[in-house]
Amino acid sequence: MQSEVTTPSVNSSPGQAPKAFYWHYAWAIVSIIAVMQMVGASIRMAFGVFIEPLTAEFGWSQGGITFAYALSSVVTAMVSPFAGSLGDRFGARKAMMLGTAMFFVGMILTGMVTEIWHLYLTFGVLLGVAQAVFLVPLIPAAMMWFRRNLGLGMGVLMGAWGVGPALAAPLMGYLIGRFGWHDTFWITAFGSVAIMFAMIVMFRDRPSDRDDLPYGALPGDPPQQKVNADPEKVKLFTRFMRNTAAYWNMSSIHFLGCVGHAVILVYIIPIAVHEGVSLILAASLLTVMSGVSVTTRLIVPVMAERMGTRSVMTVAYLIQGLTVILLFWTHDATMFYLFAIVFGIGYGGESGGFPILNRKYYGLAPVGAAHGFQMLGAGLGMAVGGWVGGVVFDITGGYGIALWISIVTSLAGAASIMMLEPTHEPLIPDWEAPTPLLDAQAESIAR
Amino acid sequence: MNLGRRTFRVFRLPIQFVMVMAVSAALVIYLGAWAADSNKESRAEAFGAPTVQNAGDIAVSPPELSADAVAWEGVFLWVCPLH
Repeated sequence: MQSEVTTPSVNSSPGQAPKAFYWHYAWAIVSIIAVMQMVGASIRMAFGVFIEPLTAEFGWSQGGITFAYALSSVVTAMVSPFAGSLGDRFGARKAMMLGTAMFFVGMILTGMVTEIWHLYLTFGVLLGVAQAVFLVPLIPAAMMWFRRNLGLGMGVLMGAWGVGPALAAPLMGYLIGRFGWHDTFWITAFGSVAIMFAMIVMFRDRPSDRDDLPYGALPGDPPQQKVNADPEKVKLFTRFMRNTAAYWNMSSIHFLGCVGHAVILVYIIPIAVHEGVSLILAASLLTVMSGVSVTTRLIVPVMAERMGTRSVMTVAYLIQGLTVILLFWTHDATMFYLFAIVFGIGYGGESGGFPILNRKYYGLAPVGAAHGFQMLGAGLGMAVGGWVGGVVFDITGGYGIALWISIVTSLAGAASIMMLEPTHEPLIPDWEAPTPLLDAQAESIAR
Repeated sequence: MNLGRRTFRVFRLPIQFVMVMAVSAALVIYLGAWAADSNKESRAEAFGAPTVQNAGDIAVSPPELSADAVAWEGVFLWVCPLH
């Protein structure tokens, strides 16, 4: 791997070291996005608690019901690249408004389903599209607020992403027990949309919308350009990004990483139960993994920014892959907990480096399209990883082959990261460059 | 700017990306066809009759076998050259 250095601060003068942390509206934006993620994604994260009530009322099979979950994941993945471009073109705030409206309609209609195809249409398709539209533009929007110290902002966001599942399932379980599943969808629809609306009111696409500078901006930095002010320039830069190998490879790396941990996340409970661990203890393994992953989600983006993005991501992928080998010799609860802790470190670190890579490769250009394409890889990876363990178990009566697939995909992801371009200089022209210079650079690429 | 860097490409896509997608697709097809083959065999053992239909052969299917199940199995078996 070629040596990596932290991206030098653009236009920073000697002696002008930006503070690592200080109060700025960027932190309000990070908090808004964290809440949007937790509220908007909670219903999918807690989908498991709806299986039993739906089976009891309609007699639908578990496989039939969980197909709606799988469909929703795949639809979100397929729509992600378009959702990212939507955020680049019209701004994240408008995308959030559209996504929130679709989310509300999808939730209300899901609470009214009477046939299983209704569930596929409302939960699978409508909510799948809604989640992509309001979730995918959020990370690129947060990036707009950080000129420097992006790792810190992304770390807080990624950490919050891990908290959602821990809160959503018990809350949904309580609501179902108290009000029934129909009303739970409606209560969640009204409650979530009220919170999301409040968040949208306070949200701003970029610092200049409130006459502010991005976090970490220094005197002498060029003024920030409005992302959606010049659609032709956004299209041109999206084309620049698509011409880079990193645009494609980051998506396939995210795919590999997600296959690697989806196998474990979906099948660790049956694997542990198969080894004689009680169901309650086995279920707590997921809680341990999620808890540990919150810490590494927080730390990895900061480390990736300061110590070399590719190196830190490679280590996370290696930990994720190599830890799974332990499962071949794991037969008691203590060893499963040890596995959960170490695996949680790698799993939590798997995704934290991507926003930092986007910044290093594409600078301050709008990266919604690139991020959306990476989310497509991640979504498909989660779907394949979730599917493969069940198929392997049906055929062989064990999980051995699925575990090897998890190990090989994580290690292949680590190898792919090492083959990515070095991060010491951007791969595309400078977004903030004057137009004549930009034209010259575009011509040089075309040649 | 890193514009000078060139990557080996297949159909204008980086070879690394193409390999990951091709191997993953091959694995999904192989595993899907393996599962379909396994289902077919277990049904044949249970009912003593072939279950993936040929044209005009609808009557031999057991009644509880859904058309959807046969469809996905048929697609995987048709696509996979090894099954």
